Amino acid sequence: MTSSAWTVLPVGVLLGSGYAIPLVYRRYPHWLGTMVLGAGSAALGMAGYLAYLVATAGPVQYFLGGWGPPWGIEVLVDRWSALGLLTVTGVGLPVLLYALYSARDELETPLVGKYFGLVLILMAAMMGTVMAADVFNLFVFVEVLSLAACAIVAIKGDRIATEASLRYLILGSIGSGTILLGIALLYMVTGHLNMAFAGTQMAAALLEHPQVVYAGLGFLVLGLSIKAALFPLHVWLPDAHASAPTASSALLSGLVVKAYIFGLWRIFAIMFGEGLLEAVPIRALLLAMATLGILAGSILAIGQTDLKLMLAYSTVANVGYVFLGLGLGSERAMLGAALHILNHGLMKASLFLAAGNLLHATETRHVRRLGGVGARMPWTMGAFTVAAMSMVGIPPLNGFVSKLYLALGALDAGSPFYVMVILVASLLTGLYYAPIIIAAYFEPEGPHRRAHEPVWACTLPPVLLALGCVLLGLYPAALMAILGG
Amino acid sequence: MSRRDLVAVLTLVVVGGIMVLVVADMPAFGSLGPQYNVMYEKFTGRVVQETGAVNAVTGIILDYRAYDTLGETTVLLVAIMGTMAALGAGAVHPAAGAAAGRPLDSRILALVLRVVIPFTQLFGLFVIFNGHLSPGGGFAGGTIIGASLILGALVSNYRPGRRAEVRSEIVESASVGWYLLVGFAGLLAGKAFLSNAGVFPLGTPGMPFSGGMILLVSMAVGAKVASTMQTLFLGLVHGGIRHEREAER
Amino acid sequence: MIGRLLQNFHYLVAVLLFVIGFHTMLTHANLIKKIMGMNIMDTAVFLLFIAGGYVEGGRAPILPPGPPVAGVRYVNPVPAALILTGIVIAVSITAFALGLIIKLYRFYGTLDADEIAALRSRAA
Repeated sequence: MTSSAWTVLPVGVLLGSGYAIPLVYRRYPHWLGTMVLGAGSAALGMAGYLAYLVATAGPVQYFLGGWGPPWGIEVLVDRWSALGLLTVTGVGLPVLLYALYSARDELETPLVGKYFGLVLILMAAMMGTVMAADVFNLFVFVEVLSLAACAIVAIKGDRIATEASLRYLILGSIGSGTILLGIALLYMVTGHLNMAFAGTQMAAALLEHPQVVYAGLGFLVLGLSIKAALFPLHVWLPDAHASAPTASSALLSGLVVKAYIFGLWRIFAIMFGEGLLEAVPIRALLLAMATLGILAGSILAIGQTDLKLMLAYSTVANVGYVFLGLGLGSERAMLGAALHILNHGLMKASLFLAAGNLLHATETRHVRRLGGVGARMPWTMGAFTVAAMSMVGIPPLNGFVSKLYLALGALDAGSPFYVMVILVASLLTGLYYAPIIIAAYFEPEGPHRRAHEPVWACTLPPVLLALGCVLLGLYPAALMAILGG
Repeated sequence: MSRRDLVAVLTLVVVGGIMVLVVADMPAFGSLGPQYNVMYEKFTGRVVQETGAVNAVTGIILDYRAYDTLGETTVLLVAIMGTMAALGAGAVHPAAGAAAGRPLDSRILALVLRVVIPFTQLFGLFVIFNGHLSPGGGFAGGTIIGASLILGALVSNYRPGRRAEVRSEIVESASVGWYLLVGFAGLLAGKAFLSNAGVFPLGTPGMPFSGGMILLVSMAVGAKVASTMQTLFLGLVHGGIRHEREAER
Repeated sequence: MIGRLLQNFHYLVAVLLFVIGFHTMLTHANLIKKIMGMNIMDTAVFLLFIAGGYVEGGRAPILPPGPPVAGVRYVNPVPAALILTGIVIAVSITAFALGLIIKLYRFYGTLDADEIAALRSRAA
């Protein structure tokens, strides 16, 4: 296993810029773009380098302060988290570019500096969460992430955003409480905070104190599922994601909910491991909730007339797909889940950014009033169409690849029922995206004759992300080098 | 009983029942359970030599687990940035003016507090600078100083102007930035991020200037916590009062 | 089981606090009371964690500057260190939530979640 300081450097760089930007913006507002994009690209470069290291030399670890486990904090980049880092930075950078223009439009001017500070801290927290190999360190970064996520919703300052972020915060705080309780219980019976070391004691603890281990795992899963919006616990998500500024919606829906799943993934894989997870009925529970989430999220999305709310409900369904892979647990299902984290990040960010452009140009959030915008806004609508088709799972786009792996994984795990679930849900997904696309290209123009493409910085990011969907659909092999599939 | 109460009671019975079962299964209270392992031995045995801190808790949070504490101060920064941003602007409901505070007009209280405040602050500084020697540290000491600043603001009916707001913002960001820089110093010295021993002189354990990085970080954390407490308090109070003025107009 | 429960009654106090906090969060419509419930719940978790670090006859982990003294036992410092972090996080969440509640009060002129929901559905 190699050791490299490049694991914590991107977190440090993003945090540092996050601290500095609100102050610098006050004095030199025109430096904002350089600083934000500089920090974002630096993080992307470092994540790329880490992914290269993982692909060539296996997992990379780092001991903070030189204190190895079990005493100090360990940071571990394995193949899954390498993909997670690439997702966070790769999707994050185009969104940052978009935000540089949209934030000035959607927020009050003095708040713009704070907004970018919060967004960069949010990205740093996601990277920290994905890499954490110590349960308490995971908790700390999860908290930075939750609070920053609430803040970038609340900063919009209108009635709905304030209410949604308060609900998000209160439910999230129940999640924090239960996560900490889970950590306390597991620490009490294993005596370790480092996941691998706790894992070595887990079998003994399960014999000695079975109820405590069950409850500890249960509370951890409950808390992280609240924050990741697993189906019956998703109530906070639609309003929060729909009322946030456009760039925040893209980040929250595309990335943030998935970062918590990485945490859960680590806890399952390292702290418990295959053998012990069989002894606990947690997987069956996750599968049931994931299935319900996929179907209910899709059905609820069909009923929405507000474009952003529709996209938010679609996120509930897609979180279900990732949990499905985690619950199935076979190698190809896990691969499918990991790919879906990246793919959904690209698709949903593209969709939200395109939706932001559409809303801005047509001044309506209603999905039935977008007739004829396809001709007026070819780039935006093109990106929307590609991403939506990928969402449905039409080959050769990337959504197809991850759904294919999930389906294969379901067959590997001996449960073809979930292949049916994926097929039905894909049809349902088609039902809510198709009318928008058909209306945009084939219906006569609505009342928004002066709708036109926004500045290039707002058109380019969704197009880039949609291009990513196409490329990863055609050449998934590039990722397989990291994931080793 | 309304439906909400029924749901609440059911949830509580389930949660409480599970928790009681768990308690019955826990290692006995005060016993040497699984926690008393290598980690416990190191943290009650070798802390002094390895970190220079006599207070094991401080040694853990500011040396062995300093990365967590960096995250923790960041949470505090995010909270204050979010709160101030949320309170910054927005429409006003006319009925919302009634609850605003009144300036303090008791001369006795003002006089007593004016005497008490400097001592409180001195005590806060003592707690910050002795965090590695006795119970306390940056968070506790910062809270004490923050409390004294809040008292002071109450007595003098202090309203932060634009400049004071910017100043506290600088203190808050700079102190977290300082923490990060101390971490990078370890990298520059060829050690790990947030290393203490080998980068900073540890001094003689038990003396006021010992513990290397711990003292440097404690000061930053203290300044941050004190400033955050004051800013949050004033933000929450005047966030209310400012809008009352607007509503009257 | 009863014997174990009696032996561990310190933890039961934490459980009781947890349930009280949770109950407050679930049943009270007043937003400030919800935040109070949240704080009680968090405190319960802290109490449980800290109580788990107690050792019979243990002293506070302030170690001698010189060589270790034989025969002295310390309580586990790890839970205390972690809970310090937990407290700061709870304070941060509380502060932010109070800020948002003040903001909501400006919009609606009430702190009652039910009234706010009613006002909102009327406006929609």
